[in-house]
Amino acid sequence: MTPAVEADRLTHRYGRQEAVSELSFQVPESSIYAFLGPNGAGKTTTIKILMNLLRPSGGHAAVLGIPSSRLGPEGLQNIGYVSENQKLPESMTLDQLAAFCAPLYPKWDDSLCSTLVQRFDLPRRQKISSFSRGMKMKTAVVMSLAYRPRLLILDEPFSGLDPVVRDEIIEGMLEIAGRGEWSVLVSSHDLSEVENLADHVGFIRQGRMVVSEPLESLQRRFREVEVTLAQPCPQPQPWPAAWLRARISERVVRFVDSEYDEARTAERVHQLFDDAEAVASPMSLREIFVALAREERHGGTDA
Amino acid sequence: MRQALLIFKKDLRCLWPELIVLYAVLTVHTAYALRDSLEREEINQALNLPFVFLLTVLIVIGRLVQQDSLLGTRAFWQTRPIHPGSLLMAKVLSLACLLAAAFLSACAVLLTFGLSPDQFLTGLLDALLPQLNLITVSVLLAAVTPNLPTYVAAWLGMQIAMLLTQDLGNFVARIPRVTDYTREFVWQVSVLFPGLLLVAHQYWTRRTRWTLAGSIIAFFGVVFTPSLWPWELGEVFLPNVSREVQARLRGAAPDGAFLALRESGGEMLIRAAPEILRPLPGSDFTVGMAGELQVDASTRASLSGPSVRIDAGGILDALPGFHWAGGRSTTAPPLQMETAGPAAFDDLVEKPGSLRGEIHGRVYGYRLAGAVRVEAGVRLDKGWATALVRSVSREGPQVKVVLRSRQIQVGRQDREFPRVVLANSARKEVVAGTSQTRSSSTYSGGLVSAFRRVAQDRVLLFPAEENEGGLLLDDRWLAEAELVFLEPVQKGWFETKIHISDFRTRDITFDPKARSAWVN
Repeated sequence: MTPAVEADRLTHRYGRQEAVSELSFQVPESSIYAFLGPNGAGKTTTIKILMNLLRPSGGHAAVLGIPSSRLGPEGLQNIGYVSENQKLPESMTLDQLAAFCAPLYPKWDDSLCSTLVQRFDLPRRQKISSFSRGMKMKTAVVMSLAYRPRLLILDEPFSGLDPVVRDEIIEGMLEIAGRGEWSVLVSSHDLSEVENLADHVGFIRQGRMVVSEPLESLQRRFREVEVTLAQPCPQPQPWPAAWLRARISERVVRFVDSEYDEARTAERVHQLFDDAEAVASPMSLREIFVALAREERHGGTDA
Repeated sequence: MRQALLIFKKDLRCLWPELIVLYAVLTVHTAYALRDSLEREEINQALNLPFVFLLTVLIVIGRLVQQDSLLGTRAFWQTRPIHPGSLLMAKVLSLACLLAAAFLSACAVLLTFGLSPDQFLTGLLDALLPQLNLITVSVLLAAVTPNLPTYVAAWLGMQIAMLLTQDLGNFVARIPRVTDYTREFVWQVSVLFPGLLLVAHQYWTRRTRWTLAGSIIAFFGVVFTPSLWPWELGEVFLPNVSREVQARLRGAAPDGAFLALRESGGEMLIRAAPEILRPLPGSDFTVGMAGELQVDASTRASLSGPSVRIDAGGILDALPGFHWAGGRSTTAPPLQMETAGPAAFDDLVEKPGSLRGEIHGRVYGYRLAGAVRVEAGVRLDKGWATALVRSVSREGPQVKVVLRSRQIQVGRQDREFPRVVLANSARKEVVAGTSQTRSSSTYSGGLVSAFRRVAQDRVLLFPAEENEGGLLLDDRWLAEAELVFLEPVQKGWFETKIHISDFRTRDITFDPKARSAWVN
């Protein structure tokens, strides 16, 4: 099955500065892919390349099977795009904007558009320029969902929105998602925004992909492990590569195992510490993200 | 096309306030254009309507382009299934509507002036070219600027740049043997085509940075490269009808006439056309001069500075029937002379130096295009020109004749108007020329360039205004006279090489007797 989005060694430079560096990932069809990373990590640049708003300096990307650099009007008929940076035609009303957009999309669904407008409680005959930030974002979402796109790309859609509006938008999207086969790529620097939404996750940092895999696999793979030692031990040199943020204090060793497997982790602990008892706790996406981010920043242990 | 219409409708919806203002200004402009000229001038001065109209047009163009911005990656249309060609087509449609409204307004004004469409349509269409240029350049600037204030600033910057560079590289001035109209046409087309290509490139690729670089390169390419071309540009359009004669410049004339040389015995090599050698009464020439004045080192120091002007115009002003087309002077040695201004060598008095130059111009012959007897109420029409004998009345031993003529100039047409003269062929005498020109119905504006004259209705008054606009003539002379249209026919061009060495400028005057050297 062709992935909805595929990036292969994607690179983009702004002058001498490399914003995206050899980035590779796939957004499987019918998945909701959370594209995560701190501000300035290269998320927006990547999305702009996918949308053919920027040309890559190297590598290539494909969206719905179309090379991104050839993405034209026909391809865009199947792609919804919402970005915090996008400028809507503010001198139009919502009805006028819908009337403008409808003929552009063969699959435009007037009733779905009306449903979404009602659900988001948007005024139809008021100029978009008078809308609040949240209303503008909802308008952009409506204009990107009403034609039932095969792929929805959201670039920091919830940035700066209050939680109520954010939840409204997410619920609205999920409602539509339940009705059809579509893929979503949503970028965010705030994990809590997408934690309950995504089934695939990619972490990007300083233009490089740190991890990209299904959320379930990620959460299964990552565990916070606390090892209680019978007696103080010296710090192993080096720490196993899969152990992130490993630190030792007296008789307690704490680390994040990025390759957690109950038996294998227990065996590894016993190899390093003679008499030890390990307890592994599941981690939230936020905790995994923080562990990965710190690992990238410090390049190893916190000890 | 469907998509283009959709975007066009969207633009109308979004820009209706600006469009209402634009059409309101246009309506007011048109309405005042129909009024009496004096009142109109007063209103124009008070409200500066042409400027307001131009400003409004520029703002509408800026808003229209930036509505669907090409710059950056934030515009709504860029992520929607909109073909760039449709977007460009929509913008072209909007601009065409803009032009059409202005065009119709101009037509309305000119019709009200009493002109028929066949008189003004070609002229009006001709006036479209510079306006298309204005629009193209404005679209380019709007496309590479992020917002309206930046666009307006860029536009002003471009105007200043054009002003600063216009004398540096207007290559069309180097195309010999073409009319001014043709030069203007070549210049306009040279700017328009690269401009249109750049606009198309912008919309097709959204590579605005490249377009900006392309604009600058194209500008310099159009303006400078041909200017730096070391060889002569093609000599086209007009045959050279001149032949060489030699004139020796005589000593200074005591009556202070214009140009001669003392002691130097300077020589001029003149290539002149037969029409110049034997100029007809009232014949007309357009002349220019290019040359270089070399001065010695001590003089050079005293010449430097902005106040120094070298003006070779005096050489030719001494010849009757020659008129300078206007031009410029130079201020720093070595002094490249190209044209002449009103002053003559005053700043060079007592300066030694040498002068090399070249005079070039067009040559016209005249042919009879119509003649009527001079009787009250008789009228002579030729194209856009009309002559009318208002009255013929006896005043003592003489007859007073009041004549009026009107010439309508529409657009920038490569057309010479007939000269209206009162001629007595039996006596080979002509009362030629006019003493006054009064613009009675000038209509400026029309399309988007409010500064370009679209139509001018000229009333030419014959001399002798001391006789209340009439001519006092001998009745026997008048009995054999006719009111005549002499239609100028361009015969060719001429050039004159000048090389004068070792002169002192104090004595540069023209000996009227030396004129014989020019004409014999």
